[in-house]
Amino acid sequence: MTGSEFEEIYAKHASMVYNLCLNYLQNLEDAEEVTQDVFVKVYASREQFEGKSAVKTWIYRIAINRCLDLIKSRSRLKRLGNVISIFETKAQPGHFEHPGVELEHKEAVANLMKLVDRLPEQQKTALMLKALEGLSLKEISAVMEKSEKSVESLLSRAKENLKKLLNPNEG
Amino acid sequence: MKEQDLLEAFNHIRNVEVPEHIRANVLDRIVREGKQAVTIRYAASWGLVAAALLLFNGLVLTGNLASQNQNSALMVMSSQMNLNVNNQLYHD
Repeated sequence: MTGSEFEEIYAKHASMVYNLCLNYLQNLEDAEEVTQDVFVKVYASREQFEGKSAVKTWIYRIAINRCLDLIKSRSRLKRLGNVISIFETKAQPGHFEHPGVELEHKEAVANLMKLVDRLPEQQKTALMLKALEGLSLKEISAVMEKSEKSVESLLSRAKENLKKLLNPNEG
Repeated sequence: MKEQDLLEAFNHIRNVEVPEHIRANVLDRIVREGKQAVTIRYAASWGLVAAALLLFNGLVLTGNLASQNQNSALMVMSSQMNLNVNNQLYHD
């Protein structure tokens, strides 16, 4: 991959990666950091990309894994932060910050995201790729390296769980 | 909030433009990390050379010691033999 090819990849996919990170992490600073990490990783591992999947799928996969890594490291820090309060300066998961949401809808979206965050990792990823990124089942299955049937099942379980979280008193 | 309202909330999330500084930061990091990788490779290859030299020195030293030990053993053996021969001569 030459410099100009990389520039082309960046120009084509930067918006997708940044918005995915924003939706996933709901924090500006984190989304910027992860977007940078993703493209540095894309450049560093360009030799390993075998072209078995589309570049877009490959980049989606890197972005999701990086977001999950950050969430995991943040929750480790948060646990540690309960003991050492110095770590509590960073934005907490409950702190919703998304420039793509207008003020009047901020509360509704923040509530939705709070519930989505409580879903198991895979269900959350499938739901976000479907509802926010607008990917097809085939594309989601390629990104998540799962069969379309598994993705379908993840999506239906995600919706069921969201319903349960929304109405905890019902069955 | 009802389920329909909840899922409706997804539609209120709009895509935003990527801040311009991210591109510059990415390129800067690629250059920086590239330089670091070269430095690390350089240091690692010098480390390998140093390790090989140390190993070589160690082998030479061990070889020298072994040959010294062998020499001492030979000397002891030969003096023992001399002693035996002398004793034999004396008795004869």
